[in-house]
Amino acid sequence: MKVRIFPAILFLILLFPLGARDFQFTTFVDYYGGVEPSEGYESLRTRVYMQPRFSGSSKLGFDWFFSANLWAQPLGEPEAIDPRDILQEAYLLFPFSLFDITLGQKLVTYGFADIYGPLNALHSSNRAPLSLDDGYDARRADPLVQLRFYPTFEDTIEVTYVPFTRPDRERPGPVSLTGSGDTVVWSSQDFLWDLPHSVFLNYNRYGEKADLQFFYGWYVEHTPDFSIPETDSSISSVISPVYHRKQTFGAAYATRVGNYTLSQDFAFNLTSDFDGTDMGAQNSDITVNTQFLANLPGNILGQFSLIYAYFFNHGNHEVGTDPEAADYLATAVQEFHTQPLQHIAFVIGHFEKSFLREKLKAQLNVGFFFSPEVYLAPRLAYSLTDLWAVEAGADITLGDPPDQALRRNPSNDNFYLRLVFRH
Amino acid sequence: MPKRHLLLMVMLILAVAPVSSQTVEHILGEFEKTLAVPTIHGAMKVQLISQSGDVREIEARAYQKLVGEHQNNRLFVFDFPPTVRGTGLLLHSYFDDRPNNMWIYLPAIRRVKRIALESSGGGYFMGSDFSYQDLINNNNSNLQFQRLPDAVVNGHDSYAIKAWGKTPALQQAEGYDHIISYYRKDNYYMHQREYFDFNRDMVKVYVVEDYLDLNPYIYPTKISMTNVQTGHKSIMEVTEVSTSDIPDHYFTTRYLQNN
Repeated sequence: MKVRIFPAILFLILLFPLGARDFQFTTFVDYYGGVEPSEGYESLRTRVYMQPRFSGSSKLGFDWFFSANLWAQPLGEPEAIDPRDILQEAYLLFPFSLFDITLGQKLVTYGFADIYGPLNALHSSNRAPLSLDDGYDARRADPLVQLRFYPTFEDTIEVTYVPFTRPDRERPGPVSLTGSGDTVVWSSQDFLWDLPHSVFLNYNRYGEKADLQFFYGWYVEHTPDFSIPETDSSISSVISPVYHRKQTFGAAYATRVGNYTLSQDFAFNLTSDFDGTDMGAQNSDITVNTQFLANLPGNILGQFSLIYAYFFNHGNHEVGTDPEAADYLATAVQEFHTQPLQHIAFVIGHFEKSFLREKLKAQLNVGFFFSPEVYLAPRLAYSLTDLWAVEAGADITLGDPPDQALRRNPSNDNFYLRLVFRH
Repeated sequence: MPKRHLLLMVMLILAVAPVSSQTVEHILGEFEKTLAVPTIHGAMKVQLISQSGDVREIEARAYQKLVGEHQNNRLFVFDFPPTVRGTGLLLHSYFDDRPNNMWIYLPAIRRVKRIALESSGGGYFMGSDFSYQDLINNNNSNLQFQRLPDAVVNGHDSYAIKAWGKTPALQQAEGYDHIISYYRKDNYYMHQREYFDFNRDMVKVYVVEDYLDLNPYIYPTKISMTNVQTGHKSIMEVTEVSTSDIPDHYFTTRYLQNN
């Protein structure tokens, strides 16, 4: 199947430049090596990646955009991108004097937070990347219709309708839960066809003193809950993911404070299980992301994000006949949903400095989770020419890998090398 | 003293009087008038030339429009190199005491982000020798000025004015100990500026190498900035210059996202 689809898509991609006003192309070859001390060295992947982007304007008064992702991993056990993930964006933009209409598959961003933004709820994402900041393999665009109305130059009122969305991409293969004798079998659905319709409303103001957003989403959550048929360790059962609707009420602002920029995103997430009795479901929460962008001494760009979340009715799940198994399952699900405690807080620091007139860029991402776990992600990028660059980085978590049963992220220590060409 | 000598002396004093009346405020005021082009746009190319002769280029579309008496809007949409292609930078700067507003559109994350790149005296514009401070309006109320002896610079009779931050904090914010600017006597245009570090050594020199006379305005079309300490040089050229009106919606975040 993949063999037939690839040439067809490649043919379409090659046709686009004929009418394109703008063509951009990114390709890279990279290598990831695993360096987790307890596991020894292992090759994690070698990927060849291509991303063409085309855009143009029609004489009929609309603009069009098209982009695709293509990758293959030729070494080891050959692997290629799922054909359903090849199309990244494909949409038409109809601009009018006071409003725009967008039709097609497009990436949309909400809120002002760059990382762990609680309002950035529209798209599904890859929940098992090798690097948490992997921009090439992260969010997946959804088909949508978007109306953006501009009553003034500063204000935007936006309504976005998504007919069908996709589930998050989780780690492949079933997971055996040793503490309860159950097995989690992931869904292989490409779209959540049985849960149509999501609507997002957003008011945006880019003013002189501050930028503001008010947000409401009634949507299908891309992260699954779990249907747990038994909580008895003497009975082995299959636990399957189930998807529910969610509502998010949010607000955000960004403003200049002296020579710094401060932004905060606030979200109240109302899940299908506000009372917290369903062990397999997400709890409702209030999440606040505070982000501070500063130019530090030595011309180091620093961005600090403090994320705090409070989960309503945490631990209110029903215990059943086997409290030990119930406790084990509840812990596994809570950790999967990043809701291990009633309150959680963590800090992400991003530091960036350029050398050699921006030919060499050094970055460090640090995640501090108020626990022994500290995530360190140093990055280096050197521009050989305007078109070619080499990049290197590592993802290191101090301490041993977590033993979470439904661990989402294979955050074992790794490093990567990448040769990138951009046109 | 004979009467004719007295008359000659009075005539000399009268002839000299206009020159001596060129106060700092007058010179800066006349210079600002030359800058007040209501609207202008063009294709901007910045060449970054290293000491070894290695050349890199930045290309952008640049738009500028005055809004009322106190606001100047600028928009840059970058086309080259590919790492910044599609990135947009929107600047709303003010001639009064209000702080500048800057937004950047980052196409990779589809986000408009409020920033303050000109802070800490750093923030060189895309790795060039031009800082963001060089691109936005200087707030003269933060500066002290001193008239220096007139000089002939690049063949032009020039007024020389030294400027520095009123406080050490403002000096740090400007990023320099002081700046000496040279204004042509014939049209008040600032054609050379020298920047001095906190050791009072010259760091870099700004030279207007070519300009467009849009009477009564003057628009520099070729500017060089040379770092005399590192030998690095940046040349900014603006071509396809037009003074035709730019719609106000260009200077909005909507335009930033859609272009």
